[in-house]
Amino acid sequence: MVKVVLENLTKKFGNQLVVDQVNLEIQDKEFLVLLGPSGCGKTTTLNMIAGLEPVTSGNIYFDENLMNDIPAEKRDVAMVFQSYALYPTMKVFDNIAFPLVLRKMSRNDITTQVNMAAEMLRIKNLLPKKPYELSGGERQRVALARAVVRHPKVFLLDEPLSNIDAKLRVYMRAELIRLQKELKTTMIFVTHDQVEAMSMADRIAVMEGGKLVQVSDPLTIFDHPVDQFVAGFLGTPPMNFIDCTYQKKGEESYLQLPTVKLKIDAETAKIIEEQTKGQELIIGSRPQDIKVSQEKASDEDFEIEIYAVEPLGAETVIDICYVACGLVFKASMAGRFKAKIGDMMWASLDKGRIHIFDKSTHKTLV
Amino acid sequence: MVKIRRVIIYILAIIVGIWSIIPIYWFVNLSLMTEQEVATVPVHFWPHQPTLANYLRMLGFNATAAVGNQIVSFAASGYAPAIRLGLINSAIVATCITAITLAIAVPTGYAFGRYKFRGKNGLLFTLLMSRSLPAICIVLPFYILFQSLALLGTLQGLIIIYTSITIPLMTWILMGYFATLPIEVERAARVDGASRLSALRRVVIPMAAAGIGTVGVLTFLISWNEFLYAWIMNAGTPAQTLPPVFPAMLFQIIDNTGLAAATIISLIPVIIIALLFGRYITRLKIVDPVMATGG
Repeated sequence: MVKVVLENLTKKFGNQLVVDQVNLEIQDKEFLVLLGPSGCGKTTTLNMIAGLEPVTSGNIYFDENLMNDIPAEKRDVAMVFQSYALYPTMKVFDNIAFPLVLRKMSRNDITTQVNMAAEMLRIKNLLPKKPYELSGGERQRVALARAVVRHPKVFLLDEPLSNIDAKLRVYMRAELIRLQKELKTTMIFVTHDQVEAMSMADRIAVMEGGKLVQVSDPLTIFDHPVDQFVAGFLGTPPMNFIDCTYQKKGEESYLQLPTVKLKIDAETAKIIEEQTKGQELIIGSRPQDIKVSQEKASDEDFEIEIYAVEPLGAETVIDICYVACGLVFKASMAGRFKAKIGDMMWASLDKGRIHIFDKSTHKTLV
Repeated sequence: MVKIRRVIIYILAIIVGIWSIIPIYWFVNLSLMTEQEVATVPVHFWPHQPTLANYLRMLGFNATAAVGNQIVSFAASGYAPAIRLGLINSAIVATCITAITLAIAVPTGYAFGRYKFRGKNGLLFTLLMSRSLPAICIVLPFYILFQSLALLGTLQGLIIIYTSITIPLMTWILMGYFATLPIEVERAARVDGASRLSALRRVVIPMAAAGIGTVGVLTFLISWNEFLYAWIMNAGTPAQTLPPVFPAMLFQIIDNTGLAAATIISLIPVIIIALLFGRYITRLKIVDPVMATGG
């Protein structure tokens, strides 16, 4: 039950900068997800919080206490690893009991605590078995029980759902959320899967190249990404990007796409003019905000050729090729959509929901 | 084409297998025959009148055996005291060496395998170099040194020399082995509250049982079989181990069947140790930490 504060946290391996000046405050009882692609520094950050990696510079605080020099075994954090890291020579019961044995708890107390943890994770029947006898999902629950049994200050989870099959993953997501709320403990969860992040986090901290890019609750990050990277990383299918130029004719402002002009309102035009010197911009539009139809509905529709159709049952993802420039992007339509590869149709973007990025800095303008 | 390759490989394997087994088989054969039977022509490939007389003789008992139609009695061999003494001394030496070597090589191998520290490369180099001198080059200096230290003809002297052979070698082997163990399990132990030493004792060493068992058997074998130092330092003394007994049997009073029996006797403790420790090595399915942790 603790607040974790990272202050200018930096980590170098030799000359390689892996974590770059990360400043982050994780509230007590919060479920925070560290999200980012492979190699962005999120696991290293987690290891530094756990005390497994020494800090190159910067500070880590648990509440008001500076933790930099305190070794891992004294930090009272519990960690669940991607590979679960169960002790292969011990039975499940002893695996879960291990942290308590180290604290020299009495045999009776240990048995009580282990049974409680096993009950919570629904693995009581597995207690006499050894790790090699268990399936992936069962091993993961043992790893969780081992973490839970200690009532630690902070839970750290390093991509714990990566090694289990898709169906179990969906089930475990809900279980983890429920567990965290029940335990009322701060939880820091590392993943590269944005679906996991969106569905589980109180707040998401997006990292890339060692830097913290954006920290906010999931819906804010989804609706208001701070730059093109975040915009493209969250949401599935991912956001589509089209180059365009900004033009002004008298009172009216336009975004010029390869074949059509999109009229934009004065407010948006003003922001664009203030924020950027160049005319080169990028439009981002989520697949859900693109409509495909057989007839041209307005002058702002552009012609496309059906490249592929992915019928997913509840929705249909259509890969469309913007004829004029050869760019292929994805549109998502609810329900069923009849189309054949090669059909010529028209696509329109929902102007109210497009994002506009500066082409050179990739930062969001609108 | 593949099938022919398979057949050739099988044939080669069988040949190599037979090549290794034949000497041992032959000695078992000899050891179960009397001198008289050995002398018969044509050569007997298996004992026609098998007897344990040679084993009994070598261990110091009088024995009888059937030769042709008669019963012949054999006196206990003059080598028997040396063999009994050799068995005890070799056992003491090999056990001590195994214990000392494991006690030192396991933590050292772990440290070298897992951690970076100042002087690591220098130390490693020294470790390797100590093994690069052939034993025969340094026997003489050791002899002179031990003479002045009054360590000649003692078990302690042998133990000192053998550990200087086994510790570097076993540290090297274990270093490589520990590096293959999944580091996340050690990290989990630390996060759970174990100090580095505690994690080593409670988690890493049990995981490394296969490697440590192998190293133990190897060490025992090396100590048990060591001949050069045993012969030069301790031959003829009360601290004589088993290997030096055999040249005497070949070159002094010739006793072929006795030699065969003595050889097989000297193999038996090794086989027992291999069976005992071998359990840990073959338990890979249970103890193999890489597979068991799903990493």
